Amino acid sequence: MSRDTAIISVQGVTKRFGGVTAVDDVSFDIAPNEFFALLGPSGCGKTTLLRMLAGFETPNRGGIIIDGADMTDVAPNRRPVNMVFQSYAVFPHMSVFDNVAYGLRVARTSAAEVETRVGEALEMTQLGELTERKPDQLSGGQRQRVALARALVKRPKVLLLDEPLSALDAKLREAMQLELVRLQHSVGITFIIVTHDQNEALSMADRIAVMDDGRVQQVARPAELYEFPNCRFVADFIGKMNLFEGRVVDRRGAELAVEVRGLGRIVAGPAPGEDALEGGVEVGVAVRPEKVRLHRDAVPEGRVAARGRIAQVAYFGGASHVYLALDSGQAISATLQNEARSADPAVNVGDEMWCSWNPRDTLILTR
Amino acid sequence: MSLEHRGRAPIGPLEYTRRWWLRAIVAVTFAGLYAPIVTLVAFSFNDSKRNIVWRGFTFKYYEKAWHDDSLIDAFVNSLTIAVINTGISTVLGVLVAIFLWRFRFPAKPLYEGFMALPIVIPEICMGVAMMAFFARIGWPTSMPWPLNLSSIIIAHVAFSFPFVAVIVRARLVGFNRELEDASKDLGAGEWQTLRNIVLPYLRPGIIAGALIAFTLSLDDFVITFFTAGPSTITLPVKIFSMVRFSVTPEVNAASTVLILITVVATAVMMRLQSPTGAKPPGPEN
Amino acid sequence: MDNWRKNPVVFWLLNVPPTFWLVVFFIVPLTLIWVLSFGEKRGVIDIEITWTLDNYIRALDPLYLEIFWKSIWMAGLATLACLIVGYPIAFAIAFAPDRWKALLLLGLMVPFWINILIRTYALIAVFRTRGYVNFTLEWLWERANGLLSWIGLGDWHLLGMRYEPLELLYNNFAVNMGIVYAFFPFMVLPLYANIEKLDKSLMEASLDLGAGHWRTFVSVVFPLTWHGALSGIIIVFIPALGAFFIPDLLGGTHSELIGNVIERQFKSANDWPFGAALSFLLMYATFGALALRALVAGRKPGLEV
Repeated sequence: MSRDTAIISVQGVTKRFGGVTAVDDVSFDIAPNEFFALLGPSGCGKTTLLRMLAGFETPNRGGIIIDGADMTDVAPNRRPVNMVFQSYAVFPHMSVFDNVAYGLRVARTSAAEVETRVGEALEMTQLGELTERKPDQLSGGQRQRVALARALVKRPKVLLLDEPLSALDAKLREAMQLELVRLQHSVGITFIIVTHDQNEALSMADRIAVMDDGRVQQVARPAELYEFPNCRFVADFIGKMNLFEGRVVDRRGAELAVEVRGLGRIVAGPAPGEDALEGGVEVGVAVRPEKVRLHRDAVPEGRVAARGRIAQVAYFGGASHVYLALDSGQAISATLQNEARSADPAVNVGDEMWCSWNPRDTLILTR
Repeated sequence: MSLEHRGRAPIGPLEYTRRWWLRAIVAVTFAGLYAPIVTLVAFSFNDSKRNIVWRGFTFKYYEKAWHDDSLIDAFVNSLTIAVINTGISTVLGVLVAIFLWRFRFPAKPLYEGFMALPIVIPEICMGVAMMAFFARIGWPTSMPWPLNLSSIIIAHVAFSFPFVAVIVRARLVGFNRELEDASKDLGAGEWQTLRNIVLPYLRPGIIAGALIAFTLSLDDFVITFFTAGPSTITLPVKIFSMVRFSVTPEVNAASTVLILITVVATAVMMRLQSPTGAKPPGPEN
Repeated sequence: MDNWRKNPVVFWLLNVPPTFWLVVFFIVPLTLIWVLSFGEKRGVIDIEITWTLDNYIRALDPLYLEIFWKSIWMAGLATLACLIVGYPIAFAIAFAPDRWKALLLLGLMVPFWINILIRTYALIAVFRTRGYVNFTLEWLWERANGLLSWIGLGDWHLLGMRYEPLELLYNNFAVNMGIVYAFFPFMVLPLYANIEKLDKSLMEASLDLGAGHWRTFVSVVFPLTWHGALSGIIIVFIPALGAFFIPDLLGGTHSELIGNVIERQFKSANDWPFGAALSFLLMYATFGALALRALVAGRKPGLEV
């Protein structure tokens, strides 16, 4: 996506609070109609970045371009961007209708048009029955939908959502995840959400920016992030990961041979984004647990293999996480799908097992 | 595009206090608030009897005040009343606060309403009521010091302890009842729990309440005006009569001394309180 | 919260001392005044309780009614002034960065600790003919006059022959300013407490939806913080009604307020029954104001104070 077609372009944005750098030289673009997520642990700067997009903070350095116009210094009430706050911020002294109508009335929309548009927004968020209720008579989920309707009725170019699902219980959260994606498709505008929950980001977003300590580590589609993380942080933050230390031994064209203690020599593809990797360089070697298979006896040819004893089994109904203590002293985890219907476990603590995986599934991480 | 380095952090939309017009309003208001006081203190050093124009620096009016027996008496009276009042009011206030926090009983809202009356009622009404009361029941008027201050002290306690109660109650709201249950679970009785668990928690509230009682008493004018007699004058009442007489720097000197005491006492009390991070106390209604 | 029967010993032990004090040294004196208001003077000291309404009728005489009305009017005006200046100050403190907040609050409180009488007295030096305000105005007058002379209009004496000092003392203006100055911190504190508790994200939401700052104040901030204003109004208005020393020190012959009349009845005029009646009328006015507040606050449920 070129800069010209991006709906939001963040360029070299830095934000400091006193001595703390909350956002450090961040740059990326967001496409129109995209469901974009800012993902990271608490304190990584994602909320600060979101607030800068909304206009509640101004960058110390860098620029924010929204739909082609430089909006870095523009006040929040003059941006074509609306926000759903983490606490929803529904006005307690106004009814549902008045809350949703607020932004339209501020813009001096005619009463007739207000009536129609608010009606549409309430229909869209399934609040049609609750127009005259006051916020203290609504549940958390209903209040969130009021906040959504209130923002969407203004037809912004971008909708920002700050941790939209964190206050909801598990069942409601799942339902809202699907609901938000459906809404985004039907309204047809860009959604940007901030979340610390990687499952949320993976399941909802078209693309995700993973942040740590003020910096963007990687911006990619969910599958790309999961299967091709560009650094240890992303590899570890998203999903579960088995991580080992190794050393580059040889390089043959596009393939690297890496020596890992206890696992022997592994031949794998190059680390993403790195071209020059010579012998002797220390790298991280990683593999996803669901790519690891367990065998009681022989291991098929051409796979990375190691032997060990089962230390722990965590049963999750549909799958089990099996933790193996390898003979070489390291630990590795494998995810087993519980395919056969049986009340007896497939494996037991103490069993001697082989684990193996396809060398192509190995991740090489340089940072 | 603004990629260049900005100097100070830019003003956020809700950072109202950084806008120049609000700062101007605050500056002017605070100047207006302090100017009269500063002038008063400054002119206490004025070497001029009529104290209108500045004529020179002198301590002589402080000396005069120091040698004015009636002024010193008034000062000592004020302090004595304030200290005794603080003691009694704090105890009563804490008792009421715990009592209301702890128990449910019939007509409780009525009781709470009555407890709030001394706070709400205009001081002059209470002042004349106390004056009539003491006259009517024939309260002895010639007792040795400090007993002759008793009528004033009684009146002060009556209007102070509800304030103390309000402050201590506010502190009680945040008390985790499970601490009490834990104490009883471990074998402590009612009084032991109150003494060892509740009271220590209340300490900042008690100090704040005591401070309020002290300040209220020291500064009180209206109620004291009606309950004081010729031999039991307090400092504010004395200053009032001095002002009516003539406005000499001596009045300023006496006033400055009172200001100093009040501010220092409050500062000390706040220091005692600040380890727990409480806000400066004010009358909460 | 326990039922009182659960632990009667503790209940009574906690209860008795404060209740005793309240009843004997507060309720009883007030009742005494109430009874006295129905009495008549018999000689210098004696008062006979004849349950007459004469005192109240006299209190409703146009002479005193006018003073009553003037007191309410002045107290009201002063309260309004406190409100108008107090709101921005409360705002400024609530939105100040943390370390400034404590400092500003402290700065506001220090005058509050100083004796109210002394603060009123200090105003004399500010407002009198040869006081601060007039000195400043005179200085400005001289500068302005100097400027006019400099541009050649000196001979026209546009600003008059000499500076005429403003009569700011010993009149209603001084009394009004006195009330404002005496009770200003009482207004700011509840306002501040309320604004502080306001969820700032509500203001951000309003801005986000396109409203400007003034609209945000009118539509969001004020409806949710006016309870604090109401508290402040009560805390200023009621004491202002009874603060007789302010008109006494700062007012002129026509600036008497109801507090002065009451004080006179109990001191120099020695007409206690009449004074008692006036006191109680003042108390009824107070209760009226409180009831009004409860009514207004109760009708619009919002966030509590």
